[in-house]
Amino acid sequence: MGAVREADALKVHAYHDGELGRFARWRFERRLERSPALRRELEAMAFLGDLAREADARDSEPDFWDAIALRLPAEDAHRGAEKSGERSRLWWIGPAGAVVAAGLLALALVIGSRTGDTGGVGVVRWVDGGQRSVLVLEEESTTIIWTLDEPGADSASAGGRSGVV
Amino acid sequence: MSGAGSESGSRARWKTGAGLLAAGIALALAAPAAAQEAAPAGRNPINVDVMISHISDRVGQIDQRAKRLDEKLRDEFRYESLEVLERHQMVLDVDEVGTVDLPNGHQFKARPIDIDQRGVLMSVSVEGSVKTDVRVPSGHLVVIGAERYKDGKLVISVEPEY
Repeated sequence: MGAVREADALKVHAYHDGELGRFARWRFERRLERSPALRRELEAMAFLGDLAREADARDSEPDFWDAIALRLPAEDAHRGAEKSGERSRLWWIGPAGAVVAAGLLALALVIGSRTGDTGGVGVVRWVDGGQRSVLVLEEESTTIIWTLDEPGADSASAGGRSGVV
Repeated sequence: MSGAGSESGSRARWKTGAGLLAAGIALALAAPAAAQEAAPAGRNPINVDVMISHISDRVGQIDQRAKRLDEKLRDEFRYESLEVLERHQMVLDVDEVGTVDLPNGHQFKARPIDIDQRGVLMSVSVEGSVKTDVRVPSGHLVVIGAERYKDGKLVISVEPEY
């Protein structure tokens, strides 16, 4: 009952991606007003888009917790010190560990936010060539996305790389 | 007496440590957010330069307006002529769709989705050919070899600047 037909799902995709023409968009918005199922589908799509964007934003953060954990005093060593009455001599470990952890956290976050500038991650996040194969070439200042036509077409239109066709 | 004094001193040190930790974490969390807020790019419109060209095996000239494009394509693909058909300058806000009618009757669309220090995340599509999401730094050239056209292929160059 609440399910959306495939054709409607494609319409929702097109609406969400801004691909509908002005009239089609107006018509679809009228349908949206009347159909809770379509609205749910659109909301789900927007939610997935937000998740994808969040994941994208996080993907360059370094795994700083591992780095911090290595520098924190080991739990067993801490317990052993308590038992042997050495607590008073090692009083500084707790605060010092906290300061080191805070410093490392700050450093990792700052470095993480700066490394985002370098564009080390590829420019192309997702590509769909439909029935055709797509060739992606990435260089420092240029990214080429090339759809390959069926074999047998002449070289420029077939998009073959030099020496291949 | 001295035991109680030592205990209260120890507590004070722990409190100092905890305070430093809290301050460090707050600083660390605030720094990237402040950096993002300080970046004006997120609020400015994005200039998107779109150039529609045609490459062909037919012997001809290389259009000098597409010199940069030719430098990038020459070593990768085989063609004898390159002609610039159209140039468009679009000014787009985030989530605004820019559309260009291609010579073959299809449409090229670009929609900035998000912008940060790494570049503008754009949804780009060539009707009937290819759809892609790209994260493009300012001034980076994205070249799409898309549709067959006449005796060659349409090539769409996209260069956002912000």
